[in-house]
Amino acid sequence: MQSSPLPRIGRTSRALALAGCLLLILPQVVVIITSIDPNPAAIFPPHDFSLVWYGNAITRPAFREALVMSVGVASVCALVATAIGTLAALLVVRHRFSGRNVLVAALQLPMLVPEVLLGLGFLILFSRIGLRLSLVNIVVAHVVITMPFAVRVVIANLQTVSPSLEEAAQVLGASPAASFLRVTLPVIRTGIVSALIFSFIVSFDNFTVTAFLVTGRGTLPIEIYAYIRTESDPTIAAISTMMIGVSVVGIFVIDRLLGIERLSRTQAAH
Amino acid sequence: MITAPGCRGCGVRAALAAPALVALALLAAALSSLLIASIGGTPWFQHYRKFLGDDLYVAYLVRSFRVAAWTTLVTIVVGYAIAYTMTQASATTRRLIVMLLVLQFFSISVTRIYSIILLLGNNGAVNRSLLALGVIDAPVRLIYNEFGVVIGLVNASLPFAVFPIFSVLERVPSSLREAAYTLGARRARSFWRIVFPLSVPGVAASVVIVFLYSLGAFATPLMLGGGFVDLISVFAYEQAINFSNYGFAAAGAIVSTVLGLALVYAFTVLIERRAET
Repeated sequence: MQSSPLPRIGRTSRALALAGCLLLILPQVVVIITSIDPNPAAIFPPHDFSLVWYGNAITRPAFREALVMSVGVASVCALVATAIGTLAALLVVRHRFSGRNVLVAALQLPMLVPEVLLGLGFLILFSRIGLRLSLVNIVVAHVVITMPFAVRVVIANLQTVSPSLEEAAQVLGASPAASFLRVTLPVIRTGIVSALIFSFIVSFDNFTVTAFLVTGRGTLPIEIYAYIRTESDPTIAAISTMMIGVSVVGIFVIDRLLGIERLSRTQAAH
Repeated sequence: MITAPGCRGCGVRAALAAPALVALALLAAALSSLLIASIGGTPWFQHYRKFLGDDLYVAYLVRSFRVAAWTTLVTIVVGYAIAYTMTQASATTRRLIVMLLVLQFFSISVTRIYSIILLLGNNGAVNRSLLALGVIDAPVRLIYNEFGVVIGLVNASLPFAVFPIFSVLERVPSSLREAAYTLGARRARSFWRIVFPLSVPGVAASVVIVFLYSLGAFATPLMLGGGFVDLISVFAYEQAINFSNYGFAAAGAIVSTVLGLALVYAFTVLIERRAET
């Protein structure tokens, strides 16, 4: 160690970093390659090329219904969570009142509670009050889970906007409602769109809480898990590849809106 | 709500707060139902007694904490290396790594875990490649054991480690490092004496996030444990869904969470004490 500390430290940490990046990228590469393997046993590497598993993924009614359900749940959840989050963000950024810090902390709470506790808690709550509507239960739980993300994103955006803009509009004779609609809303549009995207993704991705609440047909992650348990063909590899495609497009959209590098910094801020 | 004179804006505030307060009330209702279910039954606290009194159940707890500890250690070491590389890499490389981590963060967890099965399974790409190269004669078991669960959790939690550590490393003034060089400190020494202490806040934050995340993880142990590595979350799920044993499931999950939070609290206090001295 003492004799040649410089290159050894450098090499080891670079090797570790490379191993970490490989752990991130190799599964994605393998899943894309496997998705075009016509062999149902999916023995790596594929010896042939086929899109049969894409056909199976797209035409299978269970997946189509699950996708519709997932998009529906995530859309409703994103709209509701963002609406709640925007109102709460306006309150804590624009108003000073006692208990404000407590509210800010409480709004982050759902993100800090382990998902198993949330899933189990909602399962017990809903069964106690006799609410057996799988879909409604899932949406309610998802709204509670995604709200902190929406709040955080809108707060971050709102803090960059000076309240003097709204005050100026009001001095010029706009009613508070009009100054909100014509001035505040347009300037925090980026924050609201980001909050919608974030909460949509968090809800769409959710497996744990949904698994506790689902009865009968499930969301896409639930149906994917059910398929993996019973089948071993690469249909899920085809779905995964399409998901990676959607994620890449989504990331480019977010990059355009927010800037990915900035995102990595705000990530670090909490 | 209250429109007493002298409370201008109270109505507006109440209207802004109301929807969020409803959501928080639902959260409180869910968590208190959980707590009540875990305590209730006759006699009181029977679920906790049953859980803590049986080695079989305590084993779930031990396994969960062991897996979470390993995951945290590996994630922090590898995450630190990635973050450190990012501070020295070109803008393009750094952007590429950020994209990779963000893609990871935004990918659907179930398909991400499935991809790991394709990579590390008995018939997976790694085993197939090693067999073809003649390095091994029979597939090596890389998943469906604790190792596989740890690898899956490291894969999921790397973004939680890299971003906080990168942001503190980036703020280390390069003049400090240069001063150390000028004063004759070797690179390793200047790292451990100057850079690392300054990055402790980022590392500590990552430790807390990654540890709590992996302690509560559900999908990864469920899918990569293959029934051999039942962690506390899988126990809670099976008790609740397969046996409708809500109280017992709740007791197990609560014990694990409270112990985890206590550990994290102790860790934070320890770090703050050291920072003061």
